[in-house]
Amino acid sequence: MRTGLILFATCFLAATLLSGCWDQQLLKDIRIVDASGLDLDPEGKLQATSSVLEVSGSQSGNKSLDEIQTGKGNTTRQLRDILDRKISGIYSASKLRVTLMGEALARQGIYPYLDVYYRDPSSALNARIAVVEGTAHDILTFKKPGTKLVGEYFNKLISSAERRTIIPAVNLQLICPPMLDPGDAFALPYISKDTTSPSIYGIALFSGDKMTGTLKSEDSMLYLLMADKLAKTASVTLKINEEGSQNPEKYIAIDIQKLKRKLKVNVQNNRNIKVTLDLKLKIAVVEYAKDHLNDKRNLTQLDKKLSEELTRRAQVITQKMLQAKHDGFGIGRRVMAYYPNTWKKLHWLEDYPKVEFVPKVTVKIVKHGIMN
Amino acid sequence: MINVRDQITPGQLAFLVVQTQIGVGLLMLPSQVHTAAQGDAWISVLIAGLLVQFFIVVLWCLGRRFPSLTLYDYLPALLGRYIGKLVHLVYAAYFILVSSYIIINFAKTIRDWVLIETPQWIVIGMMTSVCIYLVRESLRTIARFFVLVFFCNIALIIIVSCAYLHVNFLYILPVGQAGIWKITKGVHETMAALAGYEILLICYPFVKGGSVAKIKAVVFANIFSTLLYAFAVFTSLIVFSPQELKLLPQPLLYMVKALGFKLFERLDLYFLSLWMVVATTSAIGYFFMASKGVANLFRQQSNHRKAVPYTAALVFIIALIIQDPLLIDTIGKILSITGYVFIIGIPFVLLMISVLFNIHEARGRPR
Repeated sequence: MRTGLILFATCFLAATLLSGCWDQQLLKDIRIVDASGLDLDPEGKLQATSSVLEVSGSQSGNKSLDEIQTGKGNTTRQLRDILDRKISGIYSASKLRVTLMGEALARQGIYPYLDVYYRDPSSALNARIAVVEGTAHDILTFKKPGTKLVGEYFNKLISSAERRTIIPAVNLQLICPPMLDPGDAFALPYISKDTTSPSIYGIALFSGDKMTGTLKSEDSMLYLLMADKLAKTASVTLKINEEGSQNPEKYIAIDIQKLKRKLKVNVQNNRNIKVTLDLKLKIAVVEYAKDHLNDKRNLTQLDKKLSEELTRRAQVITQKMLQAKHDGFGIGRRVMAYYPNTWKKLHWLEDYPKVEFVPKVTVKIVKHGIMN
Repeated sequence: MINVRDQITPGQLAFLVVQTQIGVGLLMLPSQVHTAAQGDAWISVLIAGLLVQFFIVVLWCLGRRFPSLTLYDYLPALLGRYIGKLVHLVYAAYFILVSSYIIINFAKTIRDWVLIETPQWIVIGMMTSVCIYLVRESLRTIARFFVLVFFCNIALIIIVSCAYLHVNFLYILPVGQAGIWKITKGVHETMAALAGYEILLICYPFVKGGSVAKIKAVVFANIFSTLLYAFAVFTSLIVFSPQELKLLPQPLLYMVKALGFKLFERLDLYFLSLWMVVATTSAIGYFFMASKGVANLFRQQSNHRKAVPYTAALVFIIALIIQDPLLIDTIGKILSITGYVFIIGIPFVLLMISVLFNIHEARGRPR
């Protein structure tokens, strides 16, 4: 009985007095970083730009402020220390929302700069990541429209594009498996600098951890469809007629409803790799000024025209992928899985551009809104 | 002879075995087996589970010949007084070392993932005190607690299932890529994680009911543990590419860390909180075996309760001394090899002696 009481008292005291004493991080002591940018300057030094939040528990309205801090150094972790000295409080990247990479850095290879994110147990692995045209510093210091916080702004910018299937839904962790895998590759959102505001240009294609090319937004959508990654919606405007009394009549806007993809990898003679990509799309017409979509002949003709146009675009995209040595559909993985003997003989980085892609898109109009 | 208060049902035995088996190994296992067997790691786990079933049958045959005695009681009868005592001592030392090893790994994981600044002795001390608190109770209480916390396993499965949002099944193809030798090495890695069923050697006499009910319970328990491990390994294999998996010591935690939902983030912290309970029960299982061994060392068939403080002190001190990560690795390797001796080697020899010389229990005494 008495020992029980003593034990209880000890445990109780230990639990109340000792819990988290060493590892507590009070919000009043830390400064949360919600967006950070990494750049390489011409001399090869790393430049970090961070948006640091001011969380003030004041009663006078919920005014959250952020300040932009920059520093130069050699590694990401070193820059954290440098920035830590510039801000009032402890630098904390545990609530990071967005990481932006300057194009120069992305072309050099990003993994060495991301290591600390993967190693630190408190880091936010679900932070979004994007490549920017020019430098991340320029984009982050850009006078943004509205009053949103920098991190929140870029987070929304990227996530809305994700919903519209323009860019892949990726975060720090999701890009890691394909980055390290020789038979796979990833693509990141690519943000360009408009005159008035930052805008999503499309995607940056990577080979390994190095950026090797870009696709603009219409192409990136088709790229994502070919990768079987249809998000909530996907729409595109295509030029379909050469003639027409007014300019808008030449165009059609479609919304992808359903997607069926068949990807087949064939290895012939143990060496020649042929990839047939069959894409079946069910679409809705959302804008077509020429109307008369109830006519069956009209519809089949449109279906055919759209299929041809999209197939042509798909061919262009696969060519660009091969040029960029970007294996975004995981062809290497499939060869590894189904033709392990062939894989052993291949030197994938050199052999991938020799792959033959045969894309084929078949379109079927299933909806045309509340008007014929 | 066996105190009525100490008796447990075969159902409780199943939970006792499951909770002792599943412990710190759960986090480390996927990367360990992957290092050995690559994309075929999940096959290794299933084979290891099958192998363990045979081991369990051997332990059961031995237990059945001495239905009301524990391992410590019939050791002298089978091996003679001095060798018996010596083996008894070695067994107790082995269980103490395993308890320490579990606690060390537990503290290390907690330090790496959550409590970075907290001194090790606090974490080790807290874990040890929780163990003392429970092991001082009767076996029945321990078993009941194990039944209660079994649901942590289910919650762990649910959390890990969230990772199926982003998987690539191509990573495990082609099946059989690693070859038989590597798969065998993977089996070896898994055996250490599946250890814990040897609690049958100690608990056999405490279980009510016939011998068939007992083996059924343990077999089912092992099937569950094997499947849970296989699930964990399989999920890790299809979430991470092989190159990344090599870099991650605790892939299960890592994969849930990246997940975030609208309402909550950092699933790894939820996972760790539940896993802590599971790891503690595993330590408690070994603690119980060790205490029983220490108690019986001094007086035959005495209760394990009196030995708990001494055992705890030993475990605590060993855990404090061993801090060097390389040393921990070495000890892990030693334990996984000596494990074969203690879990299957010695019991098999004992069974042979018992059968050859026809020594079995008659009216509560070994003959």
